[in-house]
Amino acid sequence: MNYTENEMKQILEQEVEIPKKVDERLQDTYSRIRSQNKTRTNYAKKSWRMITAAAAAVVLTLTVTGGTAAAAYLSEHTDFFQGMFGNTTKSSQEHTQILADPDKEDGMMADLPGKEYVPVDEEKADALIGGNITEVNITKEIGDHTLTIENIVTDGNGMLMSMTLERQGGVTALYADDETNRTKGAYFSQESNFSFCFEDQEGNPAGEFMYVDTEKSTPDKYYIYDYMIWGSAENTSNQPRLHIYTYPVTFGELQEMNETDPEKRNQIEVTEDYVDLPQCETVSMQSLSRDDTWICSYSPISMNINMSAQAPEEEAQDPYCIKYIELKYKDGTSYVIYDQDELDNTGYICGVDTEFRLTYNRIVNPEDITQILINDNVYDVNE
Amino acid sequence: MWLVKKAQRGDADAFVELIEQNKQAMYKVARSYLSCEADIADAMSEAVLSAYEHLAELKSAAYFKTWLTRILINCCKDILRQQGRCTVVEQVPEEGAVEEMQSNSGFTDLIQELPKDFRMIFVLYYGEGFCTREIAELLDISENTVKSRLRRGRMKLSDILQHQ
Repeated sequence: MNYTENEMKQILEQEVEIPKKVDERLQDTYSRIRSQNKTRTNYAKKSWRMITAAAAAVVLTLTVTGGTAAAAYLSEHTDFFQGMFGNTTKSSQEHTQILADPDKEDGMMADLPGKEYVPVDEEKADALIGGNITEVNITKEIGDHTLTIENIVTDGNGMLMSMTLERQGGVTALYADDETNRTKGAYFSQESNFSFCFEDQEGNPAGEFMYVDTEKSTPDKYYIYDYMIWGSAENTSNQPRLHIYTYPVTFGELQEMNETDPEKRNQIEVTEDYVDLPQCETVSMQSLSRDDTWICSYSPISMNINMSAQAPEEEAQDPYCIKYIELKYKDGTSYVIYDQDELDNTGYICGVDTEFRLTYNRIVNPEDITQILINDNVYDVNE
Repeated sequence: MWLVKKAQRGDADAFVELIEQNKQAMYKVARSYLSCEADIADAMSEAVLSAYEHLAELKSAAYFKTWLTRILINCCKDILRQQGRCTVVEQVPEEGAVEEMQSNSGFTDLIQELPKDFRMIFVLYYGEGFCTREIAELLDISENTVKSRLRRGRMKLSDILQHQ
């Protein structure tokens, strides 16, 4: 008896019968996992209930003490301000290095920049952008999910939006957790058969980072804070629209078809739906120039930097030419917005042609700024 | 891959389905290290629990099978280490085990005939379709060692079979 390569392959590939004892043991293991999972889910639900109860207690305390002491400022946009700019449900994180490919012990290390979240002064936020916040409250049923767009504020460069996504029995369309909040933002899952984006009236989509508040969200309802940058080089987008793509199959199935049956994949038709959102009154931006060269524009929510003023022409389309951005304030404090690889205090960054556009992760009063630092250049403002 | 994502979100049923999909491969890998059914059951069970526990640490869903196989190999080695055995083969299988294994005669015959140092590499290469680079990473040896063991394994197998 001898084996050829093919015979060896056939024999080693053949289905084997798993011995009863081994299979029984595996079934026991599955039961342990399922019961462990049940305990975790129950614990998670209990935690949410506890948080809700604790939150109710805090509200009660505030109401009671508010009667005797000076009442704290409470904006009608509290949820929007806290979610977009605050730190009540977000924790700052240190810069860390992670294995780019964790399955390889000798793989390359990648930088995960630190993030700093600060408290939000709601009164200041109201004074700066309160009048520009558009209360949308548009609800759209997409399959068995319900999307509600709550508030929008835009300055034509960036756009901030709060929304919720709900589904009884658990949101399945969006994949989100603390890790996506730290890295690339929430994304549509393989189980979803729809996706959506926001675009201008010409169909230019906004780049976005969807932060899902994991403290506040429940499995059935995600609270999403979306930081967006307009993709068009024109700063004129003040009437966004919602663009929904729905497929007859899930993204997982589409992906499988791509690999196994591209022809069938090409026959799959997407249904597109649009919802116009209200016209927004844009927050004004201030422009900074030196020697007739535009350096940057900035508002309370975003910034747009001219990379051509920071790097030679051949490098000015590469966002990597921007290494450091900081705002220094009159009171001596500062906001380091970006320190390449080390710190990323933006909501979202996007390179558009030779412009480096970003939204902040906190509210900024442009009048408080004394200096803007971009790479090694220091620009005095409000002198 | 969506099953992996689903499992990572805490869906225990999705995780069980994933293990069921990989059960055959797991058994073959464990069987090439261990011949006693109870040890194979221990190793597979340990690996499944450990994979579930650390599933969130898996960064790329595409590597699930490689990752799971590596965990299983470590569990098999742990069992051998705990029992003070360096390798498997000399162990006499339990009576019940022999009967069970007879239904997999083609597979077990080949496994028994393969020289012990080459057994795992053969299962991973021919049985599970891993490439030599992946096997090198799984077994913490160089790719050249994998290639040479495959070549030498084939020669030794041929020698053994000719002398039978």
